Amino acid sequence: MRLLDIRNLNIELKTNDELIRAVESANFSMKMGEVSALIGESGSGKSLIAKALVGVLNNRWNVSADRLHFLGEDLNKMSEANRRKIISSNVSMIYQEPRRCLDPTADIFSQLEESLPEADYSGWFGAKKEQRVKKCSNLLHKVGIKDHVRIFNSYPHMLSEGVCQKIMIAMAIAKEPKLLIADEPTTALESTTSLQVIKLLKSLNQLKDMAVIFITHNLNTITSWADTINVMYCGQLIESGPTKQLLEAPKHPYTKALFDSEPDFSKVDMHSKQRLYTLKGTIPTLQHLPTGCRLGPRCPNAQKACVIMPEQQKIKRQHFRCHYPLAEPAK
Amino acid sequence: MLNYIIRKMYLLIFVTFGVTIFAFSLHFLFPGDSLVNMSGVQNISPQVEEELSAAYRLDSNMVIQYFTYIQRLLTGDWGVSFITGTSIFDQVFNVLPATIELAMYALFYSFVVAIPLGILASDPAKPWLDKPILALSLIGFSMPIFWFALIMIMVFSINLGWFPISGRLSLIYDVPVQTGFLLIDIWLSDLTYKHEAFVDALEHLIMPTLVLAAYPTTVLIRTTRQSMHSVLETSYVKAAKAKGLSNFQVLTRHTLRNGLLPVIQMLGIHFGTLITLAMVTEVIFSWPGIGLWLVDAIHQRDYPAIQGGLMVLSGMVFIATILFDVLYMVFDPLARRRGYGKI
Amino acid sequence: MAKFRFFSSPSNYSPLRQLWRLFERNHFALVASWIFLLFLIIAIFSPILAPYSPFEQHNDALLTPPAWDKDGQLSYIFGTDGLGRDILSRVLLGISYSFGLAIVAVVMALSIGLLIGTVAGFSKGIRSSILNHVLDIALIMPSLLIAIVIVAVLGPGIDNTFWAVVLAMLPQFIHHVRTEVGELLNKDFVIAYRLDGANNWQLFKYALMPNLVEGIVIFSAMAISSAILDIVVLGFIGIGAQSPEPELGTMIADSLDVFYLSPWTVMLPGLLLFVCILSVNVVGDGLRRALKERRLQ
Repeated sequence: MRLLDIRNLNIELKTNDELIRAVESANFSMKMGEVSALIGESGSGKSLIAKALVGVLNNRWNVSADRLHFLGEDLNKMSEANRRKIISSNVSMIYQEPRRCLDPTADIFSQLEESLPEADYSGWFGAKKEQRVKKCSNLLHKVGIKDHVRIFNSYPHMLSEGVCQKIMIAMAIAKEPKLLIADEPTTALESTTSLQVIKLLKSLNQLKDMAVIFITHNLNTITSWADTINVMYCGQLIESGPTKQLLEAPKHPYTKALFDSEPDFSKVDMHSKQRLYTLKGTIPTLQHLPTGCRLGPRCPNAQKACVIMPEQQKIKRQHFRCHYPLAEPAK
Repeated sequence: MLNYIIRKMYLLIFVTFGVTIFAFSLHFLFPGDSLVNMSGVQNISPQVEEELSAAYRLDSNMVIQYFTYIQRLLTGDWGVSFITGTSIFDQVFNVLPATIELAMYALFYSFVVAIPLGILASDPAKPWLDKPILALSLIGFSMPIFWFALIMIMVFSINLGWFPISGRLSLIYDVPVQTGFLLIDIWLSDLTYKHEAFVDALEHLIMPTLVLAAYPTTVLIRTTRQSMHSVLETSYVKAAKAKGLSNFQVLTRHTLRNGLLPVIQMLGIHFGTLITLAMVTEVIFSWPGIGLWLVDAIHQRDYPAIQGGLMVLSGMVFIATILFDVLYMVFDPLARRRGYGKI
Repeated sequence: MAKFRFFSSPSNYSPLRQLWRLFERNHFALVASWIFLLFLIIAIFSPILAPYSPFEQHNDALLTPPAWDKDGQLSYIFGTDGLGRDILSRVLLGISYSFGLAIVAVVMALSIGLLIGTVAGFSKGIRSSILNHVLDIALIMPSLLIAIVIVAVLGPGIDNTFWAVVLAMLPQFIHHVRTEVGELLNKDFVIAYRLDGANNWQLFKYALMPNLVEGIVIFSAMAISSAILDIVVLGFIGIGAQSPEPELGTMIADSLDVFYLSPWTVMLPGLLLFVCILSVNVVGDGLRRALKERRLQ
């Protein structure tokens, strides 16, 4: 069974002047227990997809999709309340800036406690409370925080970003979700803490069979453990496919450029002052998108047909939007 | 925490110092002889003048004079009124409870009315409520208080005859003063007409309270709405929603506490304005509070009375502001850490 | 797909232009700003516009109702008061007293406040700390109470009222400018100016002023409404403008004894006052909202 299946997802921002389409006909699907990476430059709309999924976009945003299946159920046909119930009991999200996602006026324990599902505990009031305290401290231990008593009584401003992110993860796994969305969880952290966080997510994925959507703009952190990679550019999912296939033979010029821009440290003959590969130009703003292929003006092998928007194609489990897909490199 | 309280105490001392210096300097700023302004005794005979000069240490320098003045303030010797010749101290503390009573009821009323309205106006699910509530609050904010009071009098007292025009209690009732707060006094007393007096006092209270509450209510509505709006936009509220809490749970656990913090701050800031508006209300409704008393004093150029009244009023405003600040600190863990001695 | 616009982009305008563009969208605020302008014109030209002298007593027409009443006369559109003075003329002059004077007071407080506030914003250490405390005290005191104190010292009268209002508003302006300047001075672009060798005056002119203007405009708009209220309330409780003067608050207080007999003597000036303050507040509110929106973009 598919865990998640989205077809033609559109996310639009209503402004005074016009309707800006921030994400355009994105198709996205996931199997149970899969790790899927969502890669793109900032502003390409990758966080928006995640937020739309969890339902935290405010009402200035329009979200619509042709198909929106989660665990085999059609979310489009459900009432708002039902949808929220299903999503909130099965999907958790951790965010870019963990400290801003914690209530500054409440202590950690009460915030951690409220993410525990209500129904799991029985007994009279005191016993319930005891169980919940136990469960909370277990959760903290699980994410690698040892002195739970001190953390319980602290307020968010007293803790470091790394600890806050661990608490966010503890909250996220409290209800044992089927899917965890990690929205650039490591950008605000130092590199050692970010490694810890990633290790934690990795082990959770393996032990609990929890699917993960990992949103990032940093390729190195993800290529080693993601099953599939989805690349976004200017609000479009331009290429997606299994990690290995994508790394070896990208079809879309942008994907190739993205991979090429990472210095390859395994090469022996790398010069110390080699120029990194980049595409010419910059990302257009959402108000000023080019007609046709979004990459058109920057694409190294653009041709006449590129002024028409390319449709999504599929070659060997690899989906992409390009008129002239790159040939597989000769082995 | 302790550090914070010490800072607040330091501030309180600084403020007291400032207020007393100011009050002291009023002796010399007011027209006329400073000795007369200090004592309140007019037509001082040479012998009395000598006594007073000795008592106030007028022969010494300003610093000693000031400390003598502080000493007098502490012992309750605030001089006597030009007009009645009675002690200012007694007069001020006779009329003060009436003002506090009025202000407290108005504040309470506006709190009860404004905060639910503000929350309703900020509700993203009911956008049609926002504009009318906001318009109403803008109108209330722009209404000159005395004009509003006159309209109320015209409608409810003259045309409908529901409420009395002025005063605090009908003259037919005589309630012994114990606390100065009329409703409590009536409650405590063992008069035979206790019930009737209570109803009468309430009738007198309703219009001034409504008039005075108009301003704080509008301010609170706007503040609540705005802060709730910004809190609803924060990541932690969104994260809490994504966690699966119901709207009501999000409201009670996160939004309300964070959203009401600026409201407490706003209350502190606007308490002074509330007191000045209470003065105006008192003038219109002949409410026997400190405002009416002070305005009379200004009309009659009763300088010792003006000085005493101003000192008590500003002292009250300062203390209330600091209290609200402490209250704010209790609710906001961030403020506790900052602990910076700022009003 | 979003519309592709090649040339025009609203973000190319200066911040003040952008602010105005956003402000214009709010129709209520736009109408209020016209009313505000109308009041401004009345305030300036009221002696020419008024049909009679505000002090002239028409003894043959005491307490004439307004012209739309069946007993009213067309020669006194708003009717007359207890002494037979034409209310329209008095109200027109009253606008220039209450509203015009408030604006002058705000401009005055603004220029002094800008000067002191900027100097204070540049100052550091013990001087700034002392000023901080003194300002804190002055800020807690409500402006009306300060005004009452000043009037009590100076004595009643319209000119003393004016100075009292200016002095009472001054701490707020100083505080506003000082905090803004203090914040701006810590911004990186100002430090960059400094490193480029700009002296304090150049810093003020090129880096601070353009960023201060917006905030000051909005703050002044709010200050005008409180200045009007202060002047009028002082007049009403009898320690501001004195009796024959056609100040709106004083007029209302004067007519209180004939209020039950002829309500228009109180209601008309009050209504005008209300519209006046409302227009100022709506304009201020619209400006503030436009600013917020612009910052969001």
